[in-house]
Amino acid sequence: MPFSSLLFLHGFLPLFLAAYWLTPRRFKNFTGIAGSLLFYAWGAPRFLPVVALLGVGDYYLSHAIARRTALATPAGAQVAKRLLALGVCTHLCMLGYFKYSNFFMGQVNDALGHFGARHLDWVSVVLPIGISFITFEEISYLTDVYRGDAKPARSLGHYLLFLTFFPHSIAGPIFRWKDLAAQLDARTQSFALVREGFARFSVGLAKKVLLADSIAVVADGVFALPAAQLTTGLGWLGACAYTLQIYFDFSGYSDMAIGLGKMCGFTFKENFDMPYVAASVTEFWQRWHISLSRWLRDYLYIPLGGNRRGEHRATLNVIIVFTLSGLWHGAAWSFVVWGLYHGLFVALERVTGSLRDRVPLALRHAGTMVVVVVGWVFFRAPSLPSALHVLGAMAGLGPGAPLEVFPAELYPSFALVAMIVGALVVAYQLFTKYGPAAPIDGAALRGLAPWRVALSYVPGPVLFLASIAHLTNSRVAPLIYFKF
Amino acid sequence: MPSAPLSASPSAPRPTGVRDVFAVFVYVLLVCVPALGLAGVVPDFRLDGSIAVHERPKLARASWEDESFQPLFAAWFESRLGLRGTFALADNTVLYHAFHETKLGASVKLGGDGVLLNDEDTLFFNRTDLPPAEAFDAFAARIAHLQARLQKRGAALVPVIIPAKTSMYPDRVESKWRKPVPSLRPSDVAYANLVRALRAHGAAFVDARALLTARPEPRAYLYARGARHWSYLASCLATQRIFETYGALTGRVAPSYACDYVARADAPLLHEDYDLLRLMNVWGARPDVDRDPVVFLEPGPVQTVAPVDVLVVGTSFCWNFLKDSQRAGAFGRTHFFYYNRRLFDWPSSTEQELVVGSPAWRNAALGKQLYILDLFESYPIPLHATDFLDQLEAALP
Repeated sequence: MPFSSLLFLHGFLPLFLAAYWLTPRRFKNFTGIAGSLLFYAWGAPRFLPVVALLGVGDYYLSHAIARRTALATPAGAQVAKRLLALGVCTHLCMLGYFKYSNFFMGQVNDALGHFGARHLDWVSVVLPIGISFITFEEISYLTDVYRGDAKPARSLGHYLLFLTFFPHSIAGPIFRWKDLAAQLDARTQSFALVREGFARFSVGLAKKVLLADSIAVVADGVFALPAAQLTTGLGWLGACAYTLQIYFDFSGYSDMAIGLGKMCGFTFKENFDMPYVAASVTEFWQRWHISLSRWLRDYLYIPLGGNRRGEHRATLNVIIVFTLSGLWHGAAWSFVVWGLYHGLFVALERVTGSLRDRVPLALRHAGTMVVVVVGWVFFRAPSLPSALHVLGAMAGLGPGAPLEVFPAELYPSFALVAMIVGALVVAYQLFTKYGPAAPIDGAALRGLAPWRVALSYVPGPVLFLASIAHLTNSRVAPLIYFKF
Repeated sequence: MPSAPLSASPSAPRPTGVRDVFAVFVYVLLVCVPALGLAGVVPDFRLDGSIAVHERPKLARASWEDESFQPLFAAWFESRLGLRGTFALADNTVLYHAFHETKLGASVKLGGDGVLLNDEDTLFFNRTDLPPAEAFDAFAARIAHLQARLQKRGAALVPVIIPAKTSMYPDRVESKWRKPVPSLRPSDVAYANLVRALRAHGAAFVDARALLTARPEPRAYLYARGARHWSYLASCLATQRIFETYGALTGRVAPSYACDYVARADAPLLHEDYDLLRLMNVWGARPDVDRDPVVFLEPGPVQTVAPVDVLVVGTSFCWNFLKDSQRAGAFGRTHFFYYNRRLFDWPSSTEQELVVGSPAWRNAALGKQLYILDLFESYPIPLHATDFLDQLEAALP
């Protein structure tokens, strides 16, 4: 049940919010758990018991780890380490089975086929929604408890709510227990916060429905074209469209998650910080999917040695982390290449260091965008060969055979306008980076004339209304009929 | 791995103002009002067109676990939401007026000068994978063979080539609805192949495409800008030729079929003349198709010849034959095999499934004097025609 579905917006959301708001403060967490379990059960009913069992296991494991760590003895530390290893391995195995076994078996069978051997029988495994995010949250929880960075959950209910809370269970942000633990105990609830939540949710919904989904028409169309019909222009159009689509889609989803959190009194950390204003690939990753970048830094890069073992090892660690990050995004070689590609650029930036500062800022921005846009081709293309075809076309090697689709369906006006609006949003973000910052938040509103404050309340409902109108229309398909 | 510092702590709660309460109220309304449509208490605009009806699925553990219940429930829920019509109309209106577009995937495509096109026609207009000349030859041979058999029995089989709207308005197909095709457009080649094959096999037929494109009337009189199908005047002109052909094939005196008309600028559009416009479900588009006079056929002269028993086989273009049949009094006992799938009795319009060989089928198919076979251009060598030819061929004693 995506947040941008009518069932969520007009069914689940009002029912959940009504129940949540009417629940006495001390029982709100239970309502949160019940709603979240229902939400999860709707999308992945068969996986729900697994999530619940793993959650219960984590809870008791974390307490065991904390008890052993508290002993402050070598033996206790050793047991705690083993318990942590048990927990981490369990979660990685689950992730491996559900997310990568199909990919792995596909590779094995390809190899067997290459040598003329018979394929192994394999029943395809269904990927449960949100497993990548949940796994990372579980690992970070156990690790933080082991490291002493966080206390174990006070109650099983707290932990289950942290793990399954529906605003983040599908597409993040990746929660950290230590960031949320205090809010699970006590949080404020007010009309102001709920209003902010709805406004943020509306912005996210509009990003997703009005911009990302419209721009997706162009990206989907271009990436579905046969290689022979690709031209340089179409290749770049498709790559740029996807660059905008994925940003507005993903950041819109994060906005919706943050907004939903606010409606329930939670404050989640930001997951995006104007990534396309980055002047380097390194900076891009400081602004894109921030919760993932932080997770990879704290639970992969640093355990690998970080930059404590010399520059060469640090550079290698960066490449390893990014390559694994690519694999985390999807079980396909194209994702691995995408991760490696970004890793190589970040590593290159480490090596070149201050030399980059001599390049004019505008060129750094442009260069970063080109690297990012080209990288998204690997991410979006259905396969590695397909990505190479698009990249070939972008490089001017496309055969450019006549199109077999209507121009009106490949790049309709509304999609092109959505792209222009998206580009203007990015341009505005660039302006806010280097010009006077102009965020529209509570602090900025203070001191403004009342009518301007009132005016700032208008875009939220308007965006929400426009989004649900567009969504509703996309689900209506009248047909001509002989008795019409 | 580098990472930007993040604002970690929850922001300080801001005091609630009246504006916040009001804004939350507005948001809650936006979320809840459509849901109230499930109780049928939300007034709404009605959408034109045939819209799928979704039944509420029964909840069972098995259907929940295999996730077959969820999409069915979602479809039912969405179909019952309030303000659905209003939202769809508003969204379509923005698309139409701001972008001169219809919804992606909609069956109506916007042509130039207010001409609306159906997706079947734009697809046909751009098709390159049309049947080869030999296929049309084989098809024409079957028609000619059955026509000859029927002729011996005193009956006439009259195929009618009905033009696609894009054949009447090729210049109104905008560039965004054109694909690169050879200079000799394959859809025109297919038409030419059909005409050539029918002539080569000596089959009598009515070429309504040639007839209508050569008429002196404005095109909108024959194919209204907002219409999916040809006009009553166009079908009347074709019917005139059908009866002429009937007379030539049977040697009988055919009933006269007059197509005198008046064009009235002050009359409201006929429903059939703007059905595509209605299907678009747009506010404020009416002026774009409302600029032409409305054509009304005059009552025909009193028939001096006995009416002819007719079987019509074809697409929805044939409804105009039937609806106009009473005006001239030329049609006697009449049946319609709609796509050769549904059987209609005319003028009672009673309908049943068409079961080949059944008593109802035999009653409708056998013993007719005139068989009108619709060869709508967009369906080259249509299945309803080939099936019917086989079935009647087999059923004739």
